[in-house]
Formats: sequence, structure tokens, C-alpha cells
Amino acid sequence: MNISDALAGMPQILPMIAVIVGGLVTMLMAVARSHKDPEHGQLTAGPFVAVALVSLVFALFLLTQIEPQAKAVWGGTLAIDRLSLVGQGLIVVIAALAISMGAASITTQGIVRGEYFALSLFCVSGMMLMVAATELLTFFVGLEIMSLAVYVLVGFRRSDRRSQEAALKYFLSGAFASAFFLFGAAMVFGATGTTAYAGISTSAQKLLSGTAFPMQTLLLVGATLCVVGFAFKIAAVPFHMWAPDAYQGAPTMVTGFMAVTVKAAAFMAFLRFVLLALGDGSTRHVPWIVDVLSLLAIVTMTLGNLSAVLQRNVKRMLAYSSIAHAGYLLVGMVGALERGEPAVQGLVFYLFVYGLATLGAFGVLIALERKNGRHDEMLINRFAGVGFQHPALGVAFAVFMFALSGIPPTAGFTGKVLLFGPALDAGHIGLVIVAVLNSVVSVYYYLSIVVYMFMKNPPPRQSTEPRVFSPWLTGALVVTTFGVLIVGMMPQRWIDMFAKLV
Amino acid sequence: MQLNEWLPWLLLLPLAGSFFNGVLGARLPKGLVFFVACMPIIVGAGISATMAYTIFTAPEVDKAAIRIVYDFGTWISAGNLEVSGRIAVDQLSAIMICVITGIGSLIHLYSTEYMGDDPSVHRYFSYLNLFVFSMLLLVLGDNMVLMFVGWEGVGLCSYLLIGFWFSDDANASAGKKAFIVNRVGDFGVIIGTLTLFFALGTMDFATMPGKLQALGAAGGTVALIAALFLFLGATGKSAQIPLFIWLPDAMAGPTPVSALIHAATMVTAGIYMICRLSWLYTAAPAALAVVAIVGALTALFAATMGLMQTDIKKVLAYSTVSQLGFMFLGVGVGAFSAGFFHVFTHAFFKACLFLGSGAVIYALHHEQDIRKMGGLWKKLPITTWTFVVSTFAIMGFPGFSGFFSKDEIMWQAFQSGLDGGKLAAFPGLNYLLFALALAAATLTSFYMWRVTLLTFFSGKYRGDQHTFEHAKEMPLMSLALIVLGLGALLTGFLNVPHILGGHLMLAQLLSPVVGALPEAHGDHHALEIGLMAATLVCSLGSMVLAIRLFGIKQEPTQKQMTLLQTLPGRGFVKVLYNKWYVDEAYEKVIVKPIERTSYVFFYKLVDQFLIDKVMIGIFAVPAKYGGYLVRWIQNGSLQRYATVFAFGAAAIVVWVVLR
Amino acid sequence: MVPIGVPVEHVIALAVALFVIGVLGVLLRKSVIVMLMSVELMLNAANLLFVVFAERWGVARGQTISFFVMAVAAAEAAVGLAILIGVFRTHNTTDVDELRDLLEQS
Repeated sequence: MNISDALAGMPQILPMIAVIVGGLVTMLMAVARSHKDPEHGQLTAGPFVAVALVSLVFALFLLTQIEPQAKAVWGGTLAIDRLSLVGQGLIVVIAALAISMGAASITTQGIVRGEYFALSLFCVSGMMLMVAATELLTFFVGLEIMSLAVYVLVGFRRSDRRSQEAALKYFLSGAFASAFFLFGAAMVFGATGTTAYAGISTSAQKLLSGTAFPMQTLLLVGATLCVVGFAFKIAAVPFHMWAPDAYQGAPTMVTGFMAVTVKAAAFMAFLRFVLLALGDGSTRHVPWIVDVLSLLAIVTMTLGNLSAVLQRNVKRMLAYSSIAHAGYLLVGMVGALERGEPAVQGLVFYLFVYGLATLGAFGVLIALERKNGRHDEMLINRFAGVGFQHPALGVAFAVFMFALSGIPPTAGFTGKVLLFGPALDAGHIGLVIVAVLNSVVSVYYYLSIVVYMFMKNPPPRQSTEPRVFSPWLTGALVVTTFGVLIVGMMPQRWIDMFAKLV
Repeated sequence: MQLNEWLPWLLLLPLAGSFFNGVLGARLPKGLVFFVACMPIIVGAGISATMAYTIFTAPEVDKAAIRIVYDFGTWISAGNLEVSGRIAVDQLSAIMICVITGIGSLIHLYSTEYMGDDPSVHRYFSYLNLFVFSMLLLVLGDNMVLMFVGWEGVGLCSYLLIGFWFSDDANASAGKKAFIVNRVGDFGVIIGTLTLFFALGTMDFATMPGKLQALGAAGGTVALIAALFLFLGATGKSAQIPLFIWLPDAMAGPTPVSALIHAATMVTAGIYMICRLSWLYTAAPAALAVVAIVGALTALFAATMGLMQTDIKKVLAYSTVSQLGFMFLGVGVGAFSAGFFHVFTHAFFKACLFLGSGAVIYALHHEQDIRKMGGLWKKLPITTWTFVVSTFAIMGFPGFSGFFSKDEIMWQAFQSGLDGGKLAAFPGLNYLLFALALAAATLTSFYMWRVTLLTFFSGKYRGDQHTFEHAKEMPLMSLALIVLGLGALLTGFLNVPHILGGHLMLAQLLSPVVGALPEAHGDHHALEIGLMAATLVCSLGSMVLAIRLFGIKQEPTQKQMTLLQTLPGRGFVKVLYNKWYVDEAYEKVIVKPIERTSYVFFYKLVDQFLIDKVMIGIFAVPAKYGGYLVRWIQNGSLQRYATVFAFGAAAIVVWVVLR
Repeated sequence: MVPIGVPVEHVIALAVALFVIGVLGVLLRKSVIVMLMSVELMLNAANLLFVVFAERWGVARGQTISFFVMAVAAAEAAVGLAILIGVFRTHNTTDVDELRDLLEQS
């Protein structure tokens, strides 16, 4: 790589730079603010959210200006194909919604530090790097930028025991998983002499058709360890165990952010790795990967759903729900390996839908948290009668639950059709039957919250502390609710948007 | 304006009404709420009638091909998945939309009085309009996906309406039960639909039959798998064994809802689907036999449950399950139009019965126990006589609608095993089916007369005299009853069999969609008359028995009353009174395990119930051991998490390397 | 091929050994600080492989990667220690076994 190469690649990283600049500005604002009001700084979220949204919207605008091309830039480390641009756009949009929702918690939860926005934005820039990376090291750097920021966000409620515990658990298991990934990457590098996905793919086809003992084994073990690293980030069973604890312990706004953006970024990076490094970008791929993914998918869906059924804590239930969804998405990934384009389209479409619905659900949880309420436990009885006390929130939550369980006319139904279809088409009938059965089971726990909201009387004694109205949260909830419905009823535009990604 | 341009309005008007009342209803005067709720359905009834008229009076040459189609454009298109937004009216859906909007209008009008005092009546009408929209979408959709969307929509509305009075916990759980049982059925529909899609490459009703034929021999297997899975869905929606348990509980909802959703329209969706896919079921005779057997068994089983109920709506609910069983028996022996004819007549007489019971419940201030009624004919004459007419219809009294439709089904069931019949491959099955149906018909006549007599006759009123004095009928409610009563009386003449001098008009009209009625070889006129007479004798016999037991003018003797009161406590009657303990079984087999309280029960189950092994496989075992496992692993210790991680990674690596 | 006199298999074996020691450290030691150090050991095992294979393939990328990894490891340590301080403030301990508030309730 030389200077002119770098200059040619410059426009492609401008969106990331825009997000990072936004993060730096909010960080400086936080410092300035804390000088003014050091003790119980009741800082208003408004300016922070505004700066964050401006940088994200600007990044989105820049992304739309980039002409997709097949050749990777920056010495072959960053892709600017449609998958990369659409994926980054998706993350930016969902992150913008998530950050807006978090604004409410700044006041209700007494988290009076503007660093929340800076860390979120840095995190987003790491995700964008992950999604665009076509090479193991670049991916790893993106992964760490994202992860380190998220670890801190999880522990953001400094005085809360659970939040701290969640942060440490997530951090240690995350670092552990990163080490596995890196060790795998080193082995792959050893076997193939490169870390670029395209190069790995070429060597892999050659190595695996031959019988060169040490190198072939090295490649297999290395690639598998990389897959394990990805599986950790998407919370696939048995690498999911951090997720329920971290989701439950983290501040709700961070849980929502994690459940959606981290999962989406990790999934799209995983997809690129599997398609390009373990396959040739179309439907040829190393044979074992389909079996590994199918196995992970089955275990993940089933365990996720059955555990979710047992939960009484809604945050933890949603954590298991997000694990179960990782399983569904893995089914889609099996389809993507076997069928290419339509499955990738379905997968990204589902990520979008899952993102809107899950984020919306967490948004409602945030809206229900009360000012100075002790870190709300969010047990299911807490939801009794919420449907009549706050009809709009109740209806919105019901819409999200229907979407997550895949009931028409919400987008969840269309999403599941597009997600499972290609896998079935490729002959993975058992896998799809397990997936459909699982989504039947999932209705039980999604629906039980709705039942509590609309069909039980509220408990007589309730905290009289008013909820805090936040225009940012309200706006984000309106967008997610209507998004789920509109995408469900008029899916074609959105499906087209995710077409021709590979 | 072309006729087909009216078609979207048929769908959009109820949707708009639902939206309007749902959003603004709380702030509007009730009169406007009623108007907005009723108008779309009444206008829809006009549109439906026009379309049905056009289709059924089409020149003979066009009959086979005539369809009124409106295309909203491509709905989903991704890869080889292509779902159109096309809705279409053909002979089958023309009748369905007339029933939905026609009976729907009457029930909306009825509801304005029945629900008029409810503070959240706007919410009620919003749901009800949404239901009509979904049901219309279900029958109008021209492909499996649109049908499924409607299918889910009606399920959702049913759930919302059952739980309408949510302040009552029992209602809420009834709604939830309905929804979850239906989801098990939906699993079947999804798998069936996907099977068809990947075998045939399309989901359009118009092109699927041809694609199936092109498959040749493999088509039979595809048809069998798809037909059975779809039938699982039908048993959920149409309340058949093993998924019928939700319907009796669904009576917790307002009575007009029971009339519209749980009698006239939604529960018949399963039969509609099978008729719509008649080509598929014809290609899979084994699936047809399953449908017929399940239908006949349900008809009898539910009839026995209806015998001892004391809640007027519960009797009608089991009666509905039983009548739906008859319909499935009809379609199951390949006589699709006979089954569908019963859908049509049943819609009238059962809606009439439900609305009649609603009128009684309304007049008596929410009294539903028939032991506390009696002698109401003096106070509620219109209700009484329409109820009696409908009872004659459901028992199959000659000349009433149920007579024609039920006897057609029973004759078809019998002749299916004769030489050249649809089930000739299963020798002896037709005798069994007929015997089950005959027993069910006999019981039907008994329990329906029991409920009619105990409610309206049997001497004097047995409840609080003050309530009796103030009982009165309401004008719109009576209007709905009279119209439906006339329907119960007359609709049978649409499909008079050859043997009684008719020419099966409805069957001929429907034949382009569902095929002609099967005819066994040879001349069986005497046999047909004989069976008809036998059925009639049995029904009349149990009617006489019921009159002897419960009386018209004279009160039941003290002994009979005590018997009635204490019967539920004894022997086999106790079993019947408790509905064969099916609810208890389901409670224990399915519901409890999900809620983690199944440990003790699980062992009992092995002794007592082996009813539904599949259910257990799906929920109980994984939930139990899964619960142990999850708690053991997820014990909060970070190092346990890391251990699982490391061993998981090692296991996958070893597996990949060694394979 | 490898210009140094050590067979590549031996290097792989050494790296795997280092990695396994690291894994065992995370699994068995109770102090969060020692666990963190074990993770660093795992990262260094990976680094070793990168450096050796860079030599073997004759490409500089491997060595570059090891620098990146060191930087990442440093960042990780910084964040990890900060989190640990937070934990110490609320729990007064650095023993992982004491962190058992979040678990599957029965």
C-alpha cells in the first residue's frame, strides 16, 4: 500500500471518521459540563443527543454517497461493496434510535455523565469497521474498539453492584473469547500465510482438497476457533452464558443497545467471514461449516427459548429471546451458505426487523423505569395493568412482542419467511422444522407479558414517582413501532433495499 | 366502475372502521361509534351480495372460469419467493363473504344493544371490525400467504375478544389458551404451506393444482405430508380433537362474539381451507380418511360432553364442536360441497341459537345457568320461537335446513365405502363413520332439546321472580333473531338432494371449485331413504325422551330436578359433566409443565394419561430437564461460564477435525 | 522456509501449551487480576504464532499484527483494571466467586 492508495481509500472511511468526531465532541462537552456542575450535575440530554444524531445522520448521508465497488480499499482490508455499505447504514440507523432512547435514562437513572454518548459513538465506529473488514486483523481491531466501549457501558451505573458485576463478567469472558479468536486467526494465518478473507478462501480450497497433515489440521482448528469467537459475540449456545447476566445487570438503555447493534454488527461480520473466507462468496464453501452452523443453530434456538420460558424477569427473558434469535439467524446463515443471494437478503432483512422490534421492547422498558427507582428489577408482575395505565406504551409493546414471535402483519412474520425459506429450499428440512417449532414455543413467553399488560389489574400500591417524559424516547418509540408495522405490511421496498448484497 | 374495483373496499371499509373506532372511539358519542362500526359491514354485505349474484348467474359457459379479481400488486418478492397481493372471489369465497358480511351485519346490529352499556364499547367494535377484515382476507386471499395472514388475524381478534372483559382473570387465561392452542395449529399450517411451496414452487391457488399433477408419483407423498400438517392447523382453528379445548373456554367472551366468531365464521376456516385445497386432499386419500375419522370422533365426543352441561353457552359450544365434526366428516369423505353446505346452514342456526342465548342472558342480567331458568316463553316469545326453529334445524327435522345438510353428510359418509366411493380403499370404515355420526346426531337432538326445554319451557321460571318480571326483548336483537331464524328454516332448500326431488343446486354451483359430489356406482335410492329414515327415527326418539324428561308445560318432577342437581356427582355422568376431564388433562399435560410445576405430575401422567405424547415431547420434558440444566449451568459463577465455553470450543474443534 | 533452526511443529506446540496454561489460569484461579494475566498469556501465545509464521511465510504482516495485538492487550488491561476498580468499590473484593448476584433464579 502507498500514499495514493490511502488517498483513494480516504472517502470510504469518512463515515467512520464522522462518527468518531461526534464521539470526541460529546466527550469534550461532557468534560466541560462536569466542570460547571460537579456535584449532582442534572445535565440535560438534549445537546448530547443532538450532536450524536447529527454525526450519525451525517455518516449515513456519507454512506449513501459512496459508490459500491467490488474491490476492497486500504490495501484490501476494507470492503465497500453493498453488504458493507448497507450493513454500516443499518447499524448507524439502529444505533441512532438506541442512543435517542438512552437519553431518557440520563435523567431517570441518575447516570449523569455525558460519556455515555461518547462511548456509544466510539462503539458504533468499531462496529462499522467490523462490518466492512475483509481481513482478520482489521476485524479484530474493530471488534476490540466496539467491545471495550461496551464493557464500560455495561458498568455505567457505578454505584450498582449488579451493573459492576455484569461489566466484569462480560469483560472477562469477552477477553477470553477474543483470545480464542486471535489464536484461531494466528493458526489460520499459519496455514495460509495471509489474513485476508479472499486469500484464506483460495488456500483453504487447496489445502482441504489435499492431505497435507499439519497445515490442514491447523487451518481447520484455526477457522473453528474463529467461528467460536464470532459465536461468542452473537451469543450462540454454548458460548452465550455471559449474555443473560450482562443483559440483566446492565442499565436498560445499554442492554437495548447491546442486544441490537452488537448482535447486528457481529452477525454481519460473521456472515462476511463465513461467506468469503470459508467459501468463495457464492455457494461453494468448506463442507464442515454447514454442519457446525446447523448444530449451533439448533442448540441455540432450543436452549434460548426453553430458558426464556422459565424467566420471571423481563430483561432476562429478552436476553434469552435474543439468544434464541441468534439461533434463527444462524438458520438463515446456513441458507446463505447454500443459496447465496436470497438468503443473505433475508438475513439482513431479519436483522433489521429484529433490531427494530427488540430495540422498541427495550425502549418501553426504559419508559417504564421510574425516576430514582432503585435499579428496577423489571419482574413480570411489574407489567400488570400497564396496558390501561399507559395504553400507547402497551400497544407498542404488544406490537414488538408479536413481531418477535413472528405473527403477521408485523414485520417479524415476513422476516421469518425470508429467513427460513432458503434453508428449507436447500433441503435442511429438520433444521427448519426445529426453527418453526421453536418460534411456536416462543409465543408463550412473548404473549405472557402482553397478557400481564392488558389482562391483569395493576397492583394496588404503585410508586407514585412520575415517569420522566423524554421527547427523544417518544420519537424513537414511534419510529420503531410504525417501522415494525410498515415493514411488515409493505415489505417490498425494504426487501429491495437489502437485495444484491453479494 | 368495474365490479372488481369494489373488491378492495370490501376489505378496506372494515379496516378503516376498526382504526377509526380504535383511535377516536373513546371521545365520540356512542351513536357515531355504532354507525361507524355497522356501516362498513352492511355496505360490505351489499357488495358481497352483488358479487355472488354476478357469479352465480353467469352464463353457463363461463361458470367454470368466472372469478372477480383485484390485484394490489406484488406483495413480497425475494429470490424465488413471489407472493402476490391478489384477492379473488370465486364460487366458494362468494358464499363465504355473503355469510361473513350478512351474518356479520346482523351481529353488529345486535351488539349495539347487547354491548351498548359497556364503557369500552368502541374497543369492542374496533376488534369486531378488525375480525371481519381478517376473515374476509382469509377467504379472499388468492394464495397461501394471504390466507395465512387472515388466519392469524382472526386468531388474534378472537383472542382479543375472548379476553374482552379482561378484569376477570379467567377470561384472560381463556383468551391466552385460545391463542396458544391455535399457535400449535399454526405450526402445522406453516409447515404444510412451506412443504407446498418448496415442492410446487408457488403459493397461488390458481397454479398449484397443475404443479402438483406435474410432479407425478412424488406428488402423492407431498400431498399427504402437506395435507396432514394443514389439517393439524384446521383442528386448531376449527376446534377438533385434539385441539378443541379452547372453544368451550372461549365462551368467556361476549355472546355476539361467540355467535359470529365461534359459531358462524372463524371456526369454519378449517373447513374452508380444506375445500379451497380440495385438489390436494383428493390427491391424498389417506389424509382424507384421517380427516373423516377425526371429524366423526369429534362429533360424537363433543356431543357426549354437551349432554350434562348446565351453562347454556357451554352446551352450545360443545354443540358447535360436534357440528364442526360433522363438517369435517363431510369433507373427509370427499364430499366437499356437502361439508361446506353444512357450514352454510350451521352459520344461520347456530348464530341464531347463540344470539338467542344472548338475549336470554341479557334479559336475565347475566344468568347463564339453565337450572335457574324455565318458562321464559311467556316473556321472550321471539327468542323462544327462533330458538325452537333453530333447534329443529340442528336436530335435522325434515324441512329445516339442518336436515338437508346433515343427511347429505351422513349419506355421503355411508356411500363413501360403497363400490366406487372415495374411501373404498378402507373397507368397513364407512360403517364406522356412519355409526359414529348417527350416535352423534341422536345425542345432538337430546341435548339441544334439553337446553331448549329447560330454558324456555319446563313449567315455571325457577330463578328469582323479580328478574323474571323485568325480562324483556330488544327490537334490534329480535330483528337479528328473526332473520337468522328464517335462514335456519329456509336455507336448506338451496341444496335438496335428488332423492327428495331436488337437484343439489349448491353442490352444482360449487363444483367448479371443489369438484362434483362423489357418486357410488349403482342405484342406492332405497338404501338412502332407509338411512335417512333411521336417522330421523333416532333423532325424534331422543327428542321425545327429552320432552318426557324435562316437560313443556308441566315442571320436571321433584325427583327429576334432584336428579338434575345431583347428577354431576355420580358415576359416568360425573365424567360427562366434567367433559371427560379433557381440560384437566390438558392443564396437566401442557400448561403446568410450561410453568415449571410439573415434577410430581409427570409421574402421575405416565400412569394416568398418555393422551398426547407429541405435546409432552414438545413441552414437558425439555422444560423440566432444561430447567434443571439451565439452573445448573447458569449459576452465576464466571468460571463455570468460561469452563462451558472452553469445553464447548474444544468439543467443536475435535468434532471438526475428526469428522 | 524457517530460517531459524527450530522446527515449526515445536513452535506450534509451545504456543498451544502457553494458550492452554492461559485457559487453565482463567478457569481455575480466583483472583480477577490473575485471570486477566492469564488472558494476556493467551494473547501472547497467539502473538508467538503470528511472529513465527510471518517468518515462515516471509511476509511482514504477521509481525505487524503482533504490534496491534500488544496495543489491543494494553487497552484491554486498562479497561479491565478500571472495571475491576468499580467492582472493588461496590463489592470490596477481587475474588470472582464473590460475584454471584446475577444468576438463574429458581
